Amino acid sequence: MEKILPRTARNGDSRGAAVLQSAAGAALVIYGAKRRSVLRGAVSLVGAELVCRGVTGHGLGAYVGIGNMGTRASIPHQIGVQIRRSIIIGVEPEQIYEFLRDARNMPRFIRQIADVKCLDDVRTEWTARFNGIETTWVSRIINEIPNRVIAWRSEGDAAVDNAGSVWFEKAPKDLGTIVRVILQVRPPGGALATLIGKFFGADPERQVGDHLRALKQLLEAGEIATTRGQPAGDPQNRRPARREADVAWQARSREEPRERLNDPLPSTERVASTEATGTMMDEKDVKGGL
Amino acid sequence: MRALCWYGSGDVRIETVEDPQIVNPRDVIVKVTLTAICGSDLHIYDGYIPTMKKGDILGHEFMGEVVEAGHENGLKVGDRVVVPFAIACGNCFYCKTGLFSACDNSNPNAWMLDLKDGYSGAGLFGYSHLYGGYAGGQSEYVRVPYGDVGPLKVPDSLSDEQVLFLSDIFPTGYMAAENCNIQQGDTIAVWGCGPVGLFAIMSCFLLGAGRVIAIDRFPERLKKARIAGAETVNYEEVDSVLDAVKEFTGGMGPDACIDAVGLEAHGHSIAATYDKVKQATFMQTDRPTVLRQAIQACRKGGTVSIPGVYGAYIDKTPMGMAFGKGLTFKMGQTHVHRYMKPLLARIEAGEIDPSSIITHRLTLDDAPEAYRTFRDKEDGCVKVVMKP
Repeated sequence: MEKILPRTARNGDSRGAAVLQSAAGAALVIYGAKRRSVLRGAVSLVGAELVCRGVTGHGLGAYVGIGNMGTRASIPHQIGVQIRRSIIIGVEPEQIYEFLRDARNMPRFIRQIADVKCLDDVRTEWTARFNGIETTWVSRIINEIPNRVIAWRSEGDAAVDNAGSVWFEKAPKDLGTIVRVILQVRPPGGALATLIGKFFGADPERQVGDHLRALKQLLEAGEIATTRGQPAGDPQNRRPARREADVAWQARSREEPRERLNDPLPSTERVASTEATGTMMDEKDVKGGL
Repeated sequence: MRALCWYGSGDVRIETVEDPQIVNPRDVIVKVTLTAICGSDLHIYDGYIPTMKKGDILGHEFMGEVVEAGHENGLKVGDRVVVPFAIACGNCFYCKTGLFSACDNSNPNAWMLDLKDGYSGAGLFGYSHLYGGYAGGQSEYVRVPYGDVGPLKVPDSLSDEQVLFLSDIFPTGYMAAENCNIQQGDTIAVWGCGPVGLFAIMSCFLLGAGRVIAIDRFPERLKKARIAGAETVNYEEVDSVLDAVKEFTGGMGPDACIDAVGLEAHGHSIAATYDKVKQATFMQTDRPTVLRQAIQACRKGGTVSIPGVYGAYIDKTPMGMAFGKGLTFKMGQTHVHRYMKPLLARIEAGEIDPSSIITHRLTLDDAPEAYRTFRDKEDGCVKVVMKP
């Protein structure tokens, strides 16, 4: 499928130089592993960094989210976490496209989004609340083809860099629409923190899957299934507060966004952004989807 | 309200918990007038079902009166309804095709089954967080989502006991029989004469079967099977169930076999001992004793119909034999919604009396004792119903 983000972070070093770098690094690692001491440990670490740079073009820091990514795109695709999920929703592509194009609909099925502000036709400010911590960032739609794709990236110094696209394809028979999401996220702490987080239930891939399912429930059944705050035996009787919060959120999910900001251009007239860092795509670039 | 809460293997208690409330517009609150313990509840009671949390309310066979309705559905306060055990939204592909227990939209914890099995079916009442963690019907009140799809209004001319089993076991037995693709005069073998097996036997005859052979070991269950019209085999009294079935069918084998036992099957063969050992050492999750027998017994080109619940993986099962015989396997969670109206019509017409399988009539407070009695099949127990 089309690559939205550039592939390599290697800044034009020759292969030979990369091999030498890896070899030197490997030697340092082996030397450092021979005896146990802090100094030797540090030597091993430097060696590991060199190996990593030689092989992948970026340093170890990238895996834990430190360091300068230094390329044109928001996140090089090898860094961070890439999430791909898809789902079939039983409504027409036009309906879903319009629903998702309006950013104010996102909090209706993504619980973590506390607030959305449409800054202009393509830029939106998001406020997310997760585990009590609130983050705000701005994203821009860098590309769209009506009823086919919407692509975005976060702008500036976002705490959580992210970029991605959502694709709409008419499903076979009368099944509706296949919605595919590709999301590249550089969460704090990088890929390593994400891996650890998975053991504690904070799995971004699963969360995107949950959001897509909530979207499907909202569009097909008109409400999002929930069991929060329902009655249960003694150890779980903290539930009333959770239920109130859930009832409030469920009500919000069913509310249509009220007035439209800047009453935007009708969908067919929206033009893909041609900022220096985006790529202009049109129908012929989209070879039948993915 | 009072409710039956799960606290561990063999430990269920009646507790006072708060009342359920309407959360979504399609919800209704049902005041339970009669509820029952299902054979699959025993898997939870015995600790075989993962993702249970202490305090979860059990029960998925219940009926009662609507006391509160969200504003978007066709039910009114005061309506007397039977509620299907699977929760269906009515709008997804599966609901629209009649596969209600495969509903895409009713399981808020779909990610768990998605992770475990790659798909998720409908949410179920009182059946662990894998299936949504919905509070169940062994209580005084229940929140029923999608009230315009699930609950079936029932006429006052029929008693609670006559219609309660439309919630689960009657449609389950019926679907098991329907899946056998019974031709007039067919011979069917049914393993398990518990409530589902008994309804399967009755449904086989309703659908035109000529002869039914029923296999179990408890005398009172075999007696009920005989009253329903089956010829019975007590597997503790014969050397080989397979030989008995073979002789019964003149060596040909029955046209279809129904496995109404599922993952907690009992047996005395070497294979059964193997299963027990493997299960105890966590190398196998299900015991397919009955499934193996069904495959071995069935005639060539026949059907194996499986209403009995299986959870995960089975071992040492004769797939080669199944292939060689050209068997058809049909199985799955019952699509209760599909059968409720037609089966209600059969009850009204007097073709079948579901209340005939009830042996114990108790109150909700007796539930902890009742679970033990039902599991151990003491006191001639076949089916327990409870009034909250």
